[in-house]
Amino acid sequence: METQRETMDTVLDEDMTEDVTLIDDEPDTASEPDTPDDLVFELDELNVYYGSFRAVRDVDMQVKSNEITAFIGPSGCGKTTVLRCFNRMNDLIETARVTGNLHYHGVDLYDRRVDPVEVRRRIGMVFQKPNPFPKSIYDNIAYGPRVGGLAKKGSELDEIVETSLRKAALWDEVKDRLKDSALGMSGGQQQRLCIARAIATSPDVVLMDEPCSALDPIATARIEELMQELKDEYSIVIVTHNMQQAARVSDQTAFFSVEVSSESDTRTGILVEFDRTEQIFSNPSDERTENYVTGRFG
Amino acid sequence: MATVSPSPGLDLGDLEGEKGRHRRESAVRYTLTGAAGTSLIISFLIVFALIFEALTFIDGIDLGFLWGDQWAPPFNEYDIKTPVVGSLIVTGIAMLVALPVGLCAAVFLSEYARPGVRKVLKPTLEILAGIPSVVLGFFALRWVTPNITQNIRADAPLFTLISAGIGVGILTIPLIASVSEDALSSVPGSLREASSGLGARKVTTTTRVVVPAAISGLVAAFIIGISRAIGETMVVFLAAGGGGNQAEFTLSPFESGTTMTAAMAASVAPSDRVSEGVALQSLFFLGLLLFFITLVLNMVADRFVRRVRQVY
Amino acid sequence: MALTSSIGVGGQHARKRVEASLTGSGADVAGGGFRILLITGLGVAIFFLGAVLWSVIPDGIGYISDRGSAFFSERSSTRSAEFGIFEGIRGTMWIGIFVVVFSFPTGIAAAIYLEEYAKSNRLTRFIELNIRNLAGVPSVVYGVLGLAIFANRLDGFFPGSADRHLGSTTAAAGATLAILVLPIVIITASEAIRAVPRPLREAGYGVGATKWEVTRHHVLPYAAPGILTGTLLSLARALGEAAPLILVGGVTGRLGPRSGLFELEQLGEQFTALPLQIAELAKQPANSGRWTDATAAAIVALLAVVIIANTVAILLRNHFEKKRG
Repeated sequence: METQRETMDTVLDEDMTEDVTLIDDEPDTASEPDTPDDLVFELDELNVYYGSFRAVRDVDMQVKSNEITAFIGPSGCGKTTVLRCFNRMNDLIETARVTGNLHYHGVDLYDRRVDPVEVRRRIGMVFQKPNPFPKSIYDNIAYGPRVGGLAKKGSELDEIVETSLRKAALWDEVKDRLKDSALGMSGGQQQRLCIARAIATSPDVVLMDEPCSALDPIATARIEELMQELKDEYSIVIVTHNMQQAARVSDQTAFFSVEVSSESDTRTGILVEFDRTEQIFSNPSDERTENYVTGRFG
Repeated sequence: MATVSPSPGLDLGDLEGEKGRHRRESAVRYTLTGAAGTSLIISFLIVFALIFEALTFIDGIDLGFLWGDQWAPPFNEYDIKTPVVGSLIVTGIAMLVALPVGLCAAVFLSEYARPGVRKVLKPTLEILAGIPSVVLGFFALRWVTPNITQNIRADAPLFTLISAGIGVGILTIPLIASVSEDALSSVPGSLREASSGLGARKVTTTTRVVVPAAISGLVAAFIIGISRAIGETMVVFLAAGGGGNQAEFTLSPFESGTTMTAAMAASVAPSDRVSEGVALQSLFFLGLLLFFITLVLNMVADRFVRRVRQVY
Repeated sequence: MALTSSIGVGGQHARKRVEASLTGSGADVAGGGFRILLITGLGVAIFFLGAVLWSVIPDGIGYISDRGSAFFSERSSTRSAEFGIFEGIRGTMWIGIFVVVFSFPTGIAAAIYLEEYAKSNRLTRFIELNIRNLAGVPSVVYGVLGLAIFANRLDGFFPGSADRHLGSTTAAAGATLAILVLPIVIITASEAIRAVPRPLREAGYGVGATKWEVTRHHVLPYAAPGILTGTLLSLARALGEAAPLILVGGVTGRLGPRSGLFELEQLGEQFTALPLQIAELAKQPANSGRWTDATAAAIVALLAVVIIANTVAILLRNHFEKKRG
């Protein structure tokens, strides 16, 4: 475990300067070619099967770092399925099978040697309904770093807990009651706790599966605000049912839809269009996208 | 904690995870698998032990032997129909008691009882379920026989099959009540609402809608009850005269008798103990018979329970 | 009323008709009768419970107060005024120890495996079916198994018992009941684990915990009350069983000379237990001496243990269900 941290630290030290240069060079239109360091995920003909049923077909996608990418589309079109491929959560479903390529910073996530546990440490997830552990606020945040071996001593953990809560804009509200049960918080607070919990393991990606669908508009606004703040440090991929939210919040948008096969009466998800958010909403290339974003169906 | 996200210069080794953690996981997995395997081993043990000895028994005697006037191993009499018919009689009487009472209790608790009432009654039934069968055997002998059996037939002997049957029935009431109540509770409220919405009274809703909807579960309860009743030993042992290692064939519940289970217990009981030979093997033969009967009953009941779950 | 009066004569007629149909066409006889039937059924069950308790508690308590603590510290006797259940308590205690030490950990571990680790294939389904069947096997058949495997086979297992099969030993009895209880523990633990909500597990995996970490830190604590309840109930069941003990060769008369409560050598010796003593007491004639009272007293002792265990289990379950909300 020590060696691993060392490796990471050495890598960071070595590439520090390169990082700085990249930020300066970041293109601001989609027409510039994406340099590999810009990308956090690269999908190439990704298919997801549940048993013999193909849930999602041939997804090609390139997700950029430090941006918010939104997945939109009607229900049942595979948005969440694809999202859960990024942190190998689909492994939890016995019949799930993934073909094609999914690269994370150039590494094949589905390589045999990859440990999903390690993947999930680096790629965090926030779920649809807030699901804090039935433990104290402190223990909720400290759990991931503890089991992942990121911190052993109490003081290190304290620091991680405070930093995570600050980044999730929750510290001031809970700093005096860290030992209280997490279940006593409001829905919006619980979700922000879940965000803090996800970033406590120092990931570089945060996946969000309809994080605001169980929340009221005010709590939703707070979380959307939070997402913009987090963007500097993390890459965010969010699945949302709310088109307007995608338009408000994201830099790139992927529109998924459903393909109904007449012979087998099955519905398979497909990626219809993937572009900068402004394009998708003001000038979509595909007619299906246009129909969806103008509310003609869905 | 790193304040900058890991550089894009990631490689496969970074994602392999920690060896120590992996080893712990494997160790845990092996231990748990072993524990689960134990249960398999045990059931095979039961079957093999029983089959081996039982086959020796069947080998050793010729089958006409199994027909006689009484089941009395010390005297070399192995009339199999005595214990089998005894089991049927006791189980039948037990079901006559347990089924109506258990069902009524279940329907009441599920459909009619107010939450406050339910909170008291359900645990009460669970207490009844916890009473050990020896106690019920004593009760059958000392209370049921004088107060019920001898009221029906004044000349009934001290040990009768009907007393044992009533005792086993009392024992089975909570089981039937709880399985039935589960089945009834799992009928969705929307069905009851639909019926009331059409103007049906509660009794109609309950008898024409809820009970038929739960019928698979109720049948399962019935079969589970039978299985339990057939497997019951101590009540018969104490109250029907099954404690002696000798019983004459009878069709009348008002006589003493034995069941498959009590016959097994009696053949080992110290008073007429036989520790070897044919007598002992007859024990295994009965055991195997019982094992298969309850096996079949439980598998059938399982099917019915599965059907309830599927529908809802 | 103001509305209808402005309707006029036709409206008045209509109102009367509606009123008549809404206020019912008489008493709900069938419904009332049905309700009475149900309550009668329930009443019979409660009546029997009361009768059972009534038939033992007064006499039993009377006998115990007459004999005092001697009842618990004396050993078995042929005289009803001197009978004590010490040996029975000792045997029952040993059985309890075997069950707790063997069946609980093994059963819970097996349940964890089946619910969290096993793939959902035919073999797993077969194992689960097997366990459900084993739970329904009559206790007397487990006695036969105990007889066949422990009693009759393991000769000379304990020092000084070469002349006797392992047979009628405390160890054999304990092992037999531990096996009897194992399937039940597995089933109740499995149910408790299955009831753990999926989002809790997902949250654990989501922050990078391994399967065992999720199980140990999140699933098991959540399922603990249910598991505890289930195991307590199985223990109570094991302590009340008599048939398997008879089969394995429990003695109902006086045992050997050992007089301590907890001595390891006991494991290799003949044994008895409370339910067995009750069975033997119940067989004594009712008219000579105070045998019936003695039986009632022994039953009260057994019931105390069993009912307390059951009640604690149920109270625990209710408490945690309320807390979960």
